[in-house]
Amino acid sequence: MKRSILSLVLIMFLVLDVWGLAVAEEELEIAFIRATGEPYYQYGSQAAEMAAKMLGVKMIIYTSNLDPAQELANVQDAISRGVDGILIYAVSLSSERAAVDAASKAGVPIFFQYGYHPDLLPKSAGFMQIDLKAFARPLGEWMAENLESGKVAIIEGTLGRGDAEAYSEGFKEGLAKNPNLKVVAQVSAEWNRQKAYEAATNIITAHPDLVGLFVQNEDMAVGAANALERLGKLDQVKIVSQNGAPYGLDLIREGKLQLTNANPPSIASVMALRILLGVIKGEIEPGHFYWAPTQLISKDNLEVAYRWDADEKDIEAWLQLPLPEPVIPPPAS
Amino acid sequence: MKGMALRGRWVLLLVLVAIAVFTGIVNPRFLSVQNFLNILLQISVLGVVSLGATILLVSGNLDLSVGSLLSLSAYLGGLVIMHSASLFFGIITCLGVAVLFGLFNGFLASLERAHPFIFTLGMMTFLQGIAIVISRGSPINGMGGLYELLGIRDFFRVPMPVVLFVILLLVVHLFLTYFPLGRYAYALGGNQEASRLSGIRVGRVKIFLYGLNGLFVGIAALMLSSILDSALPTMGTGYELRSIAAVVIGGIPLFGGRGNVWGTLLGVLLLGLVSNSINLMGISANFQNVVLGAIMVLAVMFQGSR
Repeated sequence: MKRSILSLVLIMFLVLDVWGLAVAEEELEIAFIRATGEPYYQYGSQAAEMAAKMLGVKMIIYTSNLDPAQELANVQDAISRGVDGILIYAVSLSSERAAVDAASKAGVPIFFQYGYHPDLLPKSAGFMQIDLKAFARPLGEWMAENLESGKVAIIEGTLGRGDAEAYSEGFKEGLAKNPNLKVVAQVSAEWNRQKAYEAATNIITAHPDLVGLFVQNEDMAVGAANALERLGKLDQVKIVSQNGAPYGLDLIREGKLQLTNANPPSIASVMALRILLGVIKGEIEPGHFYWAPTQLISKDNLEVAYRWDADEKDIEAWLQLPLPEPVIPPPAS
Repeated sequence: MKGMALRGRWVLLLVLVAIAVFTGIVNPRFLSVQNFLNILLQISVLGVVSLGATILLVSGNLDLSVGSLLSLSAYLGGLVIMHSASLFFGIITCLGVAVLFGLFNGFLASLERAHPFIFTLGMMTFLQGIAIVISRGSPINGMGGLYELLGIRDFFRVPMPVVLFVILLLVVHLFLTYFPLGRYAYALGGNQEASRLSGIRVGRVKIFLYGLNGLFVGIAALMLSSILDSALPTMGTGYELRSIAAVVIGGIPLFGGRGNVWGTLLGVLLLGLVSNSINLMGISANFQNVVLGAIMVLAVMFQGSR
């Protein structure tokens, strides 16, 4: 039995190998590697997929499940598959060196939407991301200007990847413009709505006179707003958040969220795809850094916000917009 | 019983071949030597963690803190390398921390106050917490010479982490087959009370086995941080369950007493191969977990593991 199985396997592999050599290359194919399957990345990949279709490019979506080792495996697998380029929402602020080395070795351009590192920039097709601290700073500044004095709390995302910590730091820098405001609680709700509900309940129990709350994404902001509403504190506590997701815009429309800083994954992914394709075709010089599009959204400009759930009309419009200009990269993230 | 396990292993091998052939038809690039080397590199870290899990599961024990321990030991090793610029001290720190906490887990197991599932679950949270407190969320970029030593070095085209995994696989096979402590592990898994009555110092054996498991976690931490050339305080998340899954798919029952490293190798290969196949076939990311989970369930059912 062992011998027949082994013989069968050997014959099949030989036949397939010969057949494989005869397979011809077709259209351009791009791998889109996202950190997780959460809404942020889902909307990003969906917009990029729509844009790719309009541009006549095939796109394959991979997910890294926030695991840097799986991310590297995805890069290796995409290269083995024979893709022409890789667009990647990196898992963390580091750990991309191996991915860049693998892609460089195979001659496959790789463009990062997160995880900037100065050493890796020259070897990559480019980096695009937001400045984490600078992104959260205007939210702190808004509170400093709009609240006279009192207690402020922060509901953070998952600690340990560097982003949640940077957001808190940036927010506090902005808040420092009003010395009468004081951060009294900082709780991690791990980007989770239910945990944010519990965190907000605990914070308000400990500090019933709270006046401001910075929630690091709108998924958690929904949970926090619900908790405050249930406890009758929603008018007392002003909430600011980040992302510009559809449910975040709903919160602003309902008056439960005062301000959000949006970094729509949809338009960012479309722009990143366009730059990567430009690099592949030799029209854009590789190795540059770009700031990802961001937009401060309140009730005043709600109707002109870049949508996460972009439709074909939005994508068509974004394909006509000028590409972001390369900028001098920050020293390190 | 042994015949059934052997049949289960052949079925698992057939599943692996079927996946390989099917993927090869959909995307012939799957069959390239480079892709097979990629698969081996991708499974090497999980493989080493699973070797430790094999030793523990054979003895009827388990450790849910391996993922957090991997993160913590890699991070502390990276910190030492960064501040002292000494690769040697970094490696010693990484391995030392992992072995130390492994031995501590063994000590807790030897007290027999609670099932390892419970106290290692507590240790998992504790160690993850320490890693986050120490790191304050910031990853370490660059592991000094570790990247060149292990991360990108090949041995006759075979990546060094793969070579290391194969060596450790043989070491664990020899340990479980020929060393008295290895035989004691089977005895503990078979019947702990009978082992005690026959003169085996159960507590000491447990401390040793958990310590050995810690050593494997430390080696895996060095491998992963060298491959990625960085250390993140959450980089080991998920290894605890994937390693147990690989071992169980490989035919070692959760209550221990039987099984060997070759089954674990097949289990780890299955997880790596399925993940690679899904990617090379271009299956939508939204369906990947559905496919992966279904194949794992099928593999375990065919295997007949309990």
